[in-house]
Amino acid sequence: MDSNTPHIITDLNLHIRFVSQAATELLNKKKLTGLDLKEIFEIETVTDDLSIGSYQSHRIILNRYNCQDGYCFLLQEQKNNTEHLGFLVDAISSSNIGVWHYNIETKTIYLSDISKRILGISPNIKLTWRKLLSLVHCDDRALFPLFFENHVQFGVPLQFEFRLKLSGQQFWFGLKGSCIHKSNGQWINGTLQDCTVEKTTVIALNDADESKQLAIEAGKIGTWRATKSGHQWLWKWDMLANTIFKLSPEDIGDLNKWVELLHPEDKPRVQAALEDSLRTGVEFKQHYRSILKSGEVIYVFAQGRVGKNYKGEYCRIDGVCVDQTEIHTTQLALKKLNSELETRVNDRTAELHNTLQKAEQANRIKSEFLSMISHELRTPLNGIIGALDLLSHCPLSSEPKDLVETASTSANHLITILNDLLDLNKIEAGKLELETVKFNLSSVISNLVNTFSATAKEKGIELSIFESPADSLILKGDESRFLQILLNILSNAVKFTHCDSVPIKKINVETHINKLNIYQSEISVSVSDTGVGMSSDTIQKLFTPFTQAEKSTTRKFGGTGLGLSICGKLIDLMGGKICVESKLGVGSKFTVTAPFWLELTENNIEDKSPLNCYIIGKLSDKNQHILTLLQSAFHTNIINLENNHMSSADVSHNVVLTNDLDMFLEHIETLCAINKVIVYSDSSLVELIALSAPFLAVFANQPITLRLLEKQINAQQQDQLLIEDFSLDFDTDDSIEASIIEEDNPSAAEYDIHDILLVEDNPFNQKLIKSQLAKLGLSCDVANNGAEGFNFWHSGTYRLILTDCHMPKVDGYEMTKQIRTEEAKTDQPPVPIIAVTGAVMQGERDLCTSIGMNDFLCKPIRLNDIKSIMERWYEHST
Amino acid sequence: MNTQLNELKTLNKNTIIELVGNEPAKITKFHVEFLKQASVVLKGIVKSFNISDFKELKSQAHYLKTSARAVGAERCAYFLETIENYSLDQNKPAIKQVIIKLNGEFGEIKKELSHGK
Repeated sequence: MDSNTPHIITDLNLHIRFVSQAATELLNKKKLTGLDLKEIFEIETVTDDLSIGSYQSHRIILNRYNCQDGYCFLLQEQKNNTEHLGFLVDAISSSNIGVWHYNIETKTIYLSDISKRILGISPNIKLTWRKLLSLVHCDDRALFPLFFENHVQFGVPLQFEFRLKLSGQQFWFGLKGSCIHKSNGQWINGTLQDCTVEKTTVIALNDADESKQLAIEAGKIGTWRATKSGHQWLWKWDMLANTIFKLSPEDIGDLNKWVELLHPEDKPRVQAALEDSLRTGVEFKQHYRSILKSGEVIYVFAQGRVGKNYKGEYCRIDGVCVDQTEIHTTQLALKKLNSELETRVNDRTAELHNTLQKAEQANRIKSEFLSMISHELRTPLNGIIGALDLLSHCPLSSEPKDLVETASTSANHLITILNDLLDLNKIEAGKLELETVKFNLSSVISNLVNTFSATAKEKGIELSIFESPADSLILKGDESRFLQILLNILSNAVKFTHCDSVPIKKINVETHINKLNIYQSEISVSVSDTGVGMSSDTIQKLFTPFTQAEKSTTRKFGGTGLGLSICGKLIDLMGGKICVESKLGVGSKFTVTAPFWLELTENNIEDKSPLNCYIIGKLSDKNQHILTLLQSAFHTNIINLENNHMSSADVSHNVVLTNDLDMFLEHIETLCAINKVIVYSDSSLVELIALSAPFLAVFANQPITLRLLEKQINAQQQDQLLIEDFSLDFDTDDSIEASIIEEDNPSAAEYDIHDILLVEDNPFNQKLIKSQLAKLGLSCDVANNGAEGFNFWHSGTYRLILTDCHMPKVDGYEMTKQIRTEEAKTDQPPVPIIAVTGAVMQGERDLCTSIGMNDFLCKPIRLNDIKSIMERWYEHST
Repeated sequence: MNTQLNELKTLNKNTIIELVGNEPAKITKFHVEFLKQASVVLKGIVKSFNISDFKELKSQAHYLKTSARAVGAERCAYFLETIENYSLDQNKPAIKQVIIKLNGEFGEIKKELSHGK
């Protein structure tokens, strides 16, 4: 080392032995030998070989080198110290690096302003070591003593990160430092940096990486990659991929090992696809098989994407591979199972199809057979019914008559069953077509009620009809089939209500029209009865063909069980329904609902005729219903006779509604003055009212329909009577006559000479009196009027004459006068003449006596009376 | 209420028994005879009504009334007598209603006889 280089040589204890010329000039002091280097320069050791010292306010850098028996220190004055310091301060400030130093002995700490700021500590606060540690996250506090002590004692680098919470947010800080020895003790100097962003990013990256790794491991997905180096592709894959192919760890990266395992059938395709991807950058996506060393075949799916370098060259490929052997095996098993199932389903379908065809064929044959046999049976049955009808009109005695009636009833029943069978067959064969005709509900209900009102009355069933007020809707649909359903249901109601076990026999029919829109209305007709009722089990099988409520039903009530089945099918065809509510021993309610089209042509709205409705007493429910019907059909003026409110308007339609006989009788005089009155009352009062006021038309207020009501009111307007309405049909009705024991054959006595003459125009009375005389052992001649009587008397010899008084041509009085006159002329003894008259007045008796009649018999003549007369006048006459 | 009217029977069988004795066969014969006669006379009554021949109407009613009484058809007899009375008044609307009721009553007699045979 030359003298121009400022240097100092010391012994091992750092005592100066030599100072070079250049050093003397630098330090501006000649005598330094023997002095302690550390004291002269107040050295701060930075490293073992570098120290910084100061000498007379100059900063001196000392670089140490070993030399013989000591050290050689090269001196270098640190010039422009302020400039350097400023540069350092600026750099630290702009980098946002905080600095600190810590005295190990005193445990005092110094923090620069930047350090305080980034730690969120006010610059004025004097911070202690303990205070600083209290701010640190509790999990990181232990790092401080650990790192500091290890650094001081073992020289372990002092560098760690810790967390600190500021304003509720967590921040990360990096702390670095190193120990220096100074004259005033041992210090650790260091820096402090906010590394929250970097730390958070690292944590997130680690998390994502760990997550990806876990997912890949869970999915047993192997990863593989290749990078291009020059013209070579370097391959690598992970352990999972290696495991899939059961390769050894040393095989990783050897592509040939993988290629060797490829299934011969798949190898060309897969290799070509891989080469194509590496060359063109197209995505690699292949399913292939590999044959492992053990001979096991695995199914693999591999997919990879190619990446470019900054020059746009394809330089890498990254991908995954998945072992799909298990999935493939499962799919194969499923496929097999599916195939087996399909075969079985096909077999079963074919089997069912065959069975169905057989069943349909059997059903068709059955229907055709039933249809044919029904038709074939109907023809002879019609002959039987016709013949029986003719036979029933022949005079027959009671026993054959009964037999004919039974045969006729049975034949008609058989026809009904055949009709039902034909209907059922038609429906089941899909051959029944519904008609579409115009009709209104009132006419259907009227037909329904007309069919059953007489039967119901005869069976003591109170039948009531409650029609909804007519709104003149004209419906379109199959009227006759709808009526068929209703007839069947009402027929059942009558059948099952007419039973000894039913104390109160009532059937109500109610109608309801629900207008759905301008094109359609829904019609509901409910039939409720107080009959025997049904259990819920019975209701379930009610619409099944040939099924009746109970086995005993057929025996008790008759029927085939076809009726409701046909009704159910018919209502289905109509798009309606039949709802059944019933309780055993209480009764049943059948509600038939069906939609019908409405006739859209505008109806001519007829003017309603005026009608006076007189109310006597409180209105019963049934009379209230009559009033509702009247109001729907007539312009009704209601007059309450109880309040003596008489109508001033004289109208041709007058109706009285009453249920109070006494009050009715009180107003009978008033009613006499009203033109063409018609009275409606509960059926129990109809007879009494009809007898009390025979001049009034009296009807029961139930069962009644709107049609019947209108008919009765309109009939009242007729002045004439139709002769055909008054045919008793007795000439053809021999049911009573047939039972008469004939005794009209003239006996021999008829031709004998009789001494009693009966003068009577009424053949019935003639027969009666003859019969009475016969009872007394007497007989008589009969004259039909007074003229005939006189002639009989004149030509014969009679001991007694019985004569009616009122007769056509010559009456009894005139004949008596003629006989008495003739007797006087011819001087004959007077024959006893007995008046037989219906008049019972004393004046009549006096008249008879005054003109020469001897005695008097009042019609009808009792046997004892005629006997007395005979004893008095016949037996004593000579 | 007129109790007598209330007591009137459609067919009082005791009446005919009093006339001819309790001989069912003979009674039946007279019942049938009556209905035959009624069937004819009723048509005559209706014809007379339609041509408003009140005299004939009254006569026919009277004619049938005696037969009705004989067989115990009390209500029939009552209606026939009522026709007689209204014929005198020539009250046609009232007669119409009575004829209708009379017709109904014949139906009731027929029914009673059919059931009682």
